[in-house]
Amino acid sequence: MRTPFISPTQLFAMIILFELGTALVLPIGLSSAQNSWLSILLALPGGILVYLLFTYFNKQYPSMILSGYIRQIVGSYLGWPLALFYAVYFIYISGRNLREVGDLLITTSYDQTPIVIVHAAIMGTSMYMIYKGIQVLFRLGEIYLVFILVLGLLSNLAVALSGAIEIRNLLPVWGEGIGVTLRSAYPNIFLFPFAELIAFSAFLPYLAQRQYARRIGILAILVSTVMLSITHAMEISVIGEDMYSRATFPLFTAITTVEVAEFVERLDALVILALIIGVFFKMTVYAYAATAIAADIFKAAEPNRLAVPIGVSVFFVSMMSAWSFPEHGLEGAKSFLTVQPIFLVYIPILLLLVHLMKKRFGHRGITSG
Amino acid sequence: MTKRICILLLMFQFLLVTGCWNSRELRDLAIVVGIGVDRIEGSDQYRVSFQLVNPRAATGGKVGGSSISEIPNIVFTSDDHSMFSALRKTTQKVPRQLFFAHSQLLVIGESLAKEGVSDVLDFFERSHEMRLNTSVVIARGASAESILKVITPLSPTSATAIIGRLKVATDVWAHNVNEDIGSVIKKLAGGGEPAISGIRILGSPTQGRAKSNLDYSKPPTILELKGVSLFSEGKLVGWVEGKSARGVVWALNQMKSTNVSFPCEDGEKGVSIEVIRSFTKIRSRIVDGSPRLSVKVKEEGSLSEAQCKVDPGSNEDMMKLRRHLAEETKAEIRMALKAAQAKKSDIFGFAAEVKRTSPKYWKTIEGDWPSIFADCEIDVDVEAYVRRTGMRTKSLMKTNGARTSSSD
Repeated sequence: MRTPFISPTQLFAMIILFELGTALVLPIGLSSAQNSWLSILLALPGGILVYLLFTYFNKQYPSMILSGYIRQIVGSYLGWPLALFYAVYFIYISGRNLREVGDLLITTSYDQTPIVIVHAAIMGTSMYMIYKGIQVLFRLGEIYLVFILVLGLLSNLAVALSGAIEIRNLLPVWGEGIGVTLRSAYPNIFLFPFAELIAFSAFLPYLAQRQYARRIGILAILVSTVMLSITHAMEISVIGEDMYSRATFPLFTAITTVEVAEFVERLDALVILALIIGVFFKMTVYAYAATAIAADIFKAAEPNRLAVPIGVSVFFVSMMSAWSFPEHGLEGAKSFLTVQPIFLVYIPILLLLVHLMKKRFGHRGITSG
Repeated sequence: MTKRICILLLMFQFLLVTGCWNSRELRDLAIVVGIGVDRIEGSDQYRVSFQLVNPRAATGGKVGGSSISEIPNIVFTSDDHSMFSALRKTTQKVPRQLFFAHSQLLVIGESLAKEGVSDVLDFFERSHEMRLNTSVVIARGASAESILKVITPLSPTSATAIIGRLKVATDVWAHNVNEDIGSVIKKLAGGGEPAISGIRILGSPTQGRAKSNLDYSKPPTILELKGVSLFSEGKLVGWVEGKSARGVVWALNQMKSTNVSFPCEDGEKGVSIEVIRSFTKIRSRIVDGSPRLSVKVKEEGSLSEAQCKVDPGSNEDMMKLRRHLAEETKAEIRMALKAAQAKKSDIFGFAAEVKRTSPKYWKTIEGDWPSIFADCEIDVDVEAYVRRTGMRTKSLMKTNGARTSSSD
């Protein structure tokens, strides 16, 4: 009944788009601004581990998504509400992503446009994608990866040619010490954007050549990490540590200072495009994951129809979760330390432990009984 | 079927309205090229001046067949406590909406600079319409407003005229720096002190405001770049001029090209060398618990004028040129460093360097940096090359003796 149709290339493209998503444009790491590029690299192993965890679950329960094997592992009574929590969590994160792109657009160019209009335009498209289904989403991702790569190449080239890069701004490499750098890698950068790969648990059952899932996924995580790290290093070397740590959208600020031969300037549009593309896929992946879980636990006959209720929820969450962008940021920082690790780390690890114990002792129980 | 077509048509209308919400028509905009900020004396308000392009005058030629040319420089001012408020207040005087995406110059009044500029910069950083690469100058001995009001030749507005000077003079004469808002903010935020060029009015400011200023082949009132600012703890404390200003440019690694002259051995007439390439590194290390700073310059030049006997055929003469160039450079940088140290003004960004290389040490002395900098020992090391001698080898002057004997 589940026809596999995501090709390895499509998975590769989607993971990169997802990882770059908001992390490209927003300041990440919360602390240790100076060497967040290093923290990104340090957080990479954690990201790969998270991905491996979910491919492992996928191997154990090949036809199930997250909500499916949660119920298998901990039983229906505990599993059903837990899966519901995950659906709600995914809706919330999707809404956060939408808010970030909406606020960037309004701050930088659409200063007179109400946030409702901006969000509705993006959410409408996203809902349509979810309605159309997984295959369309992934095919589109493949196309847009090329866009993102070309945009990234162009803007990095322009920055390099403009001579705005001052490599010495990156010194000292370890910033305020190894401790601070590591602390910003774990948990902050590890949680956002690496552990967020949990959303892909909704897609893994649809892979066509499953034997490549691990290799392709790890490669995609590696590539996106390097791209993220280079971008953030570029930002710091262009605008300096102080401005980087104070900027609402550091990449945007860095790009606006670029001027090549008084001719190539005002490249801000490239950044906005990159963010719109990245966030569109990220929030759609989240919203889709929420839809898939909801369809699974509510046993919906036509999962596509859930696109509308889930999409509308995301739309409202995006606007109602915070009354200002700083509050949105604060909420993100707080949830990083409280709620998010539960969903992204603790529950998956507990699931793994329970699963392993069941596998070990479960059989013995049956034989002895 | 009809339903589908209806929906399609309804969707189609969205294509027509894209961009309507935030649309701004060009004819409703007043393009601001220059912004001036002054402190009103005896008050805590700012006087903000906006220099607008007059589109009808800027297009040049005779529009509509009339030969009456309009004045190209239009300046509006408003007084208020905040930049943004002054900006919006100005709309009472201007028939169009001010548009800032093309503003190229920020002029800061000297009196405001003496009180500190960081307060007014927040607006420029926060606004999405302002650009961080807007150049900054300080009005010397005049208000920013009066600088912007001067009508200048060869350029539609005085802001573009100043930008033109900044770009060309910085590139070929190097006694000024072309600092933009972005780097001023970077430096004020902890990388030392900003070095900003001064601009002053030569002649009468009142006459400069009138179009008649352009009725002379030598305009009676002109603008001139003069000196580089010395800031200490964010406040203007002095100026460096002439050779020391050029030393500053050298130390800041902003030297692109300049002319270095030194006298011939026997007289006041001289030799000129055009510096065509220069690269400066500033470094710091901690020796016995105190910072030891260094400036290292590597430069290349070519001989552009020799009013006395120079024989490029002789290795000795060429080495002499090299040595003179290096010594002159070194002397100018030393003058600059001395002037800056005297005012406790770290415009060279040594602070950022110490912070980068010895972050732990920096933590302990952060607050006292200006006075520590003033007492620091700074090594200057110059490596100079004279690569070419232009279109001639030997100079016109055959011997040194010929000139001296005739003057006897």
